[in-house]
Amino acid sequence: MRLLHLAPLALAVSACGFGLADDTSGGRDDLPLSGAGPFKKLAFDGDTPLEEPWLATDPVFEFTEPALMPRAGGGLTAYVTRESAAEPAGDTSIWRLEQAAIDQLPDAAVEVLVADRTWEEGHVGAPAIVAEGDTLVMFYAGGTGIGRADSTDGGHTWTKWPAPILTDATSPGLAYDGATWLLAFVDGSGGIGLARSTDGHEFTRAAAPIVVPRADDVKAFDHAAVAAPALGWIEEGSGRGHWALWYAGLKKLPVGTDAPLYAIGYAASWDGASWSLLAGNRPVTAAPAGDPAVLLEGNHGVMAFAAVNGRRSAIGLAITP
Amino acid sequence: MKAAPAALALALAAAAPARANPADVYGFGARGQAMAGAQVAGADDTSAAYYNPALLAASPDIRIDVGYQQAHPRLTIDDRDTDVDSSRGLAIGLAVPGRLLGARLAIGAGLFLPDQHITRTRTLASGQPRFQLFDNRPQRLFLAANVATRLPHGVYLGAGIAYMSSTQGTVALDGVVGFPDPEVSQLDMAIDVDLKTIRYPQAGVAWEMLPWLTVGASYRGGFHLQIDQTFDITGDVGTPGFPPVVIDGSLHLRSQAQDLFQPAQLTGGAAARLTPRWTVAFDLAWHRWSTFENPAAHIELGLDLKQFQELVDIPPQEPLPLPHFHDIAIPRLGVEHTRGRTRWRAGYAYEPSPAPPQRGATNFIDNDKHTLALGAGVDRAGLGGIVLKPISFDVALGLTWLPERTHAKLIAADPVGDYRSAGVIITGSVTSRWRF
Repeated sequence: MRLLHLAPLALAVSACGFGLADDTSGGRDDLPLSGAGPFKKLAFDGDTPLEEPWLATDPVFEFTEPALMPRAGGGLTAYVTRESAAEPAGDTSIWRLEQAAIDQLPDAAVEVLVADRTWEEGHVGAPAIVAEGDTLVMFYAGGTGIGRADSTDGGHTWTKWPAPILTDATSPGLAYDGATWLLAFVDGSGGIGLARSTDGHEFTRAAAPIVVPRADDVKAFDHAAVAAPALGWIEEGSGRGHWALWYAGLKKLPVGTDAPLYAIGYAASWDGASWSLLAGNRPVTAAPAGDPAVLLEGNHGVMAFAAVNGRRSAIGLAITP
Repeated sequence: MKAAPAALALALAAAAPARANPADVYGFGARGQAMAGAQVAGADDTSAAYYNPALLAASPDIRIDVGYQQAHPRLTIDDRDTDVDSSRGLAIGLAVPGRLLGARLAIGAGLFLPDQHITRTRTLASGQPRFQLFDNRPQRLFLAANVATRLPHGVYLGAGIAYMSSTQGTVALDGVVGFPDPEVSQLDMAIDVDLKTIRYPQAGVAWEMLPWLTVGASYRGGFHLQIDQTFDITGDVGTPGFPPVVIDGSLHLRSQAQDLFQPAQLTGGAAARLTPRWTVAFDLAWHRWSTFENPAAHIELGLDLKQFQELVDIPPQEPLPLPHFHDIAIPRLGVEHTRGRTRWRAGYAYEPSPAPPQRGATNFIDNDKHTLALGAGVDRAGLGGIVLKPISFDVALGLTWLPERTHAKLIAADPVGDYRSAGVIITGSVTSRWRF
């Protein structure tokens, strides 16, 4: 069963004049990348300080709903939802942490956004962040709505807008192409909804959800439910761009106290109105992985996701080849 | 005169379906490279073993050519170098003339021996971007053996076969598959690998129509390498010494793929010695790329886990998308200027891409190709009493430009997305030509 057993075959074949190409042979580098990954979870490596694939994990507090932004000087900055240490249980706030390299431990997390508005009902979370010029714009979930906060110091401090941007919606995903804002959300309708704006605060909801569970395909990874949308705007090699949507899909609803077993799927759109799912009914990141956030730079991508580590939800990392 | 046609018939009869080679991509020998491959009527050395075997009978001399050639591609996707491997190796040719029943008969052989891989095969998924014509095609051995004869009225006929080998292998494992610890597996292994010879035909004709004009035509058969590998594992699953978890389970995996596709090729051309100093050669080649099939692997996977079978769901493999390549015509133009013992050469070739823009699920990248080549040759006196005839030394330098091409995908959720492909390839070769 070990690979060693196949060595005689390789030897026999190569001795007869055939070389079987390995992964290092030419023509496999710097290949183009869309948002479809696939993203593979970081494999554990005892030689690195990071406890792969976990970027943020704690035996007491839950980490969920990450957002990723590029870090000045390389690496990434993650914004995560962390369960509050204070009473009452279940309150959440948003924390910021920086990671200089994909295999390094992040700096200590810093709390950057707390629930201090009435409409937030004690919790803020699910950050989704884009850059508008020198300003970082965060949309976040609070109470039963989606709020906005801006930062002009690279995400260290944030100024909230007074009222929610969207009500009766949660779990925002946000993208901005320089002219149009798209806001994906979950509103209890069973699918992922979408709203559009040209100024970042007046949004118009689409009439129908853009992604719904594939109820007619029992083998689909998103047969039972879809949730936790993350949006992105990707400029391609041809010069045109497309809107990218990553979402958590659930094949089966959990039974009893079982944790839901999400996998992460992908959809995309040229115009933000008509969306197509990745062909093949396959996820871009295998279960267990939910709450996606993606950072694409050049021909490489990093995905942060939430999954259970031990007894608590933690934030893991997955990368493209 | 009957022996020569019989030899030709024998050679052709031995030929079976055939394949693609580095000479197709970068040429063979320094003179041929310098004239951009316009050699079907103009080859005057052992490179005729590749360009037109009929011309092997054109010289009464025994000839041995030994050279080295390299090609360094810089092929980019979205301006990023994809690090496609270079191709380099020895190019060796041999031609031995003789007479049989009053007719001039020559046998010849051509060999390109790469010094990186004898032959490299690689099976990629259809969606994996790759420069299809430069991925594995230049990474293989080329070996051809030919026989040629001179007929009356300045007509030459030649034919031969080129060799390759296909792979069919089975690995069978039988015993106890360790579970949960695979390290305790106790398996007996049997390996059965067949490397079957594949032969493909090549043939040519040339006619010295006028003292200063030769016309020629050649044909090379198409080829692809079939790779067929099977893994069979049978036995119990569990820990040796304990009752097995699964009794008499099995796993069958068969992968069938193809690689090193070479299109069938038909080439016609002429070489005109316009003045004692100037020779011009022109070829027009037709390459039958429309028969190119998706080279990705067809996978058969069977699993019998007895009572646990229902826990396993292996979806069937989706049909491989068609590549939709098309036939192409390639014009080649070469000139040679002779001044004393020195010759200067130049050539240009245009090879349109047989691949359509990659807008769907496949990413068989290719671009049009413009090749500009320069070269020179010089004759030197032979070596004492061993080599009485002059020895020639030739060099060639070529540049192939692949102008940028945009591949715009039809659906936004394409796994790869839009991209641009482009590139340049620098080729160089040196050849020493010996006549006896």
